Amino acid sequence: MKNEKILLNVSDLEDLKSYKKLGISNFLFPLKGFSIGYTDFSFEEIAKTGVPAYVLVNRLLTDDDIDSFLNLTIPSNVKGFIVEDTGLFYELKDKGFELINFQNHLNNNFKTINYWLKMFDSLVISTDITKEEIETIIKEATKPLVIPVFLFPMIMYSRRTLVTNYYKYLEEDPKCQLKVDIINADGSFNLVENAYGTAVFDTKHIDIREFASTLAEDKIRFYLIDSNFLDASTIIEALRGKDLLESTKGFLEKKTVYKVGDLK
Amino acid sequence: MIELLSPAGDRERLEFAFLYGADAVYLGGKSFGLRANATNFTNEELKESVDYAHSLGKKVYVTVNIVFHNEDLDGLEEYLSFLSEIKVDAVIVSDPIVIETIKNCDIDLEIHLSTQASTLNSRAAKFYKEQGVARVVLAREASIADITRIKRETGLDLECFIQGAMCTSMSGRCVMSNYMTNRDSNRGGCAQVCRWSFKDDKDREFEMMPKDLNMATSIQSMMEIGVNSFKIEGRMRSIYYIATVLHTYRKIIDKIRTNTLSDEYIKYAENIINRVANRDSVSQFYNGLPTEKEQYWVGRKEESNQDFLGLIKECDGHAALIEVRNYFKLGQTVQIFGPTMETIEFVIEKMTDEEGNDVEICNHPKDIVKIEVPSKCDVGSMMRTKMFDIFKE
Repeated sequence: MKNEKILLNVSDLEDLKSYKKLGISNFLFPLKGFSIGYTDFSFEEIAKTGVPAYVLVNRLLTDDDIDSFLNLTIPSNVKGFIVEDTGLFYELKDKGFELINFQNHLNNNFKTINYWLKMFDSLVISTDITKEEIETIIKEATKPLVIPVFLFPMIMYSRRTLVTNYYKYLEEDPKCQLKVDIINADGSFNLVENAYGTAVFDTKHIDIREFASTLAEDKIRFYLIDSNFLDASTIIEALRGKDLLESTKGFLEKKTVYKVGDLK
Repeated sequence: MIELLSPAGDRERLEFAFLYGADAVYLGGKSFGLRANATNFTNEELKESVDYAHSLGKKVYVTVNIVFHNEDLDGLEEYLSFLSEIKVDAVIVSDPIVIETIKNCDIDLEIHLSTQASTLNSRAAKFYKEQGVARVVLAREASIADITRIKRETGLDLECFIQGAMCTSMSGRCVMSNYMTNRDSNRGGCAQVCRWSFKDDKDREFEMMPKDLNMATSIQSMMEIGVNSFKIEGRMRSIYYIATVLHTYRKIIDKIRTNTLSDEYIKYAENIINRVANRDSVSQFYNGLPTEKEQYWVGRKEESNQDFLGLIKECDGHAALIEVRNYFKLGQTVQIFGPTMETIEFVIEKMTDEEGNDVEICNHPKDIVKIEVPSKCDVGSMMRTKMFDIFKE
């Protein structure tokens, strides 16, 4: 997995220098006011970095949101956008940016992916599919794809400000993050809130870099590494090949079922 | 066109939906639908149901709204061709591969975009219109301003949910079930993890379950801004729930059309709906973002009620044959409501079994009893416990 093929999600601008030293040259910046679940950055902040920038808009938008977006000045170091909302794609197409589809959890088969690739330059594949499914998708896709390889997965987001509302209900000072554990079962989540709503992340980390490195590199646009919830030293050590985290392989070897009778 | 759209989890629910005023139903076949654990319809049942609906001048929409994995693609074209042959009125889809298959294979099917696509803006709606979509089922998060603009900018047929359970998440953007139970939420296996109980960082119980949606107060406004189809959630709900909710919303829509809707009726309707749902219901996102009051946070227990006492199977003058559903007894005050009759209230003064023997208490579901009623009742009308006074016009 070559470092120049890595797209690294940025959580702290101070860390850029260290990442660049390791040969990382493509960075992903969640856009302030238009993303959810991440430390976000304005176009002015992104411009000041001067690095080749991809901009993440990972939430659904209203018409008013899109109007606001279109009034912003996009800096010259922005190479492309990773977008979830089809309406924003509709406005950005044919404007010269590299456009990458990011429909969280919906890009699970090669035919749907090829449908989107007629319009998009690339697409982020789902984190919820098996090794065999990924291999088929990579083989059949008509353009190189983005594969998330190192992340705490966002497993839900809501338009509701769940954390704020909870503390209002308790009549306590508001917070914007909350960790909760499931009662009577194994599992916990991190709730991360901004003005738009609440993102819920699994607390189990996924690392599928070893598997991803077996895929044909010319079919991969980027290996996506997500620094959310991690400090720079952990990311840097991971990029150097050291595993400091306890990670899972996600769904690589675990197929989901959808009828209760199919549960084993 | 204004349409009241009901869920139909099986043939019995479909018949009650039409009886109680639905203009159309949505339902799932055995494959490709998001209620994998509902009874659903075989291909033969689908055909019979479509024929039955069309004989009444009503419509059937079939959900083909899973998010497809590679393994689900087999058989899709054949299934869509079958739905076209039996003349379903539309398919409800979220994964664009279904749209592309319909177009590429030249299958004659009207396409409705599922709420799972979470459409919130006119640009996305326009995109899908260009792909051949005739109607968009908007995201439940759409506000009055969002809906108004989407209608104005696209002219598309718009369908909005007006009643029923809400996801905590944006529709389609949740895989909590996948990660916690291995059951695939976007292929019909959702385990509703967001309705489970959690502990916060101070060991306090935490829940994040929304109250239900209830748009009774806003139907007139929704009609004015151009919503075409008013959709009720709940393919796995009981016939009593379906009948009660449809009966209530049918009256609201008809009263709006005849300019006879009053605030008093809306208040009455809200009481009836909240009672049958066993959960509080609110307007959610239509007039602004939900606050802490639109959620259940701690200790919410859903207890089913026993309000549904019996189903009227026959009625000859003042004698009604009733199939028992829950406990009732002589001397009890009850109400009967039905699709065409005025709701009646009376005290049960005489009951007999099928042999003509006097009965004082009914407590065996499916038993048949004869009851004296004050006026003729519709076949298919329902007897319920008196919880509220009947609304006087």
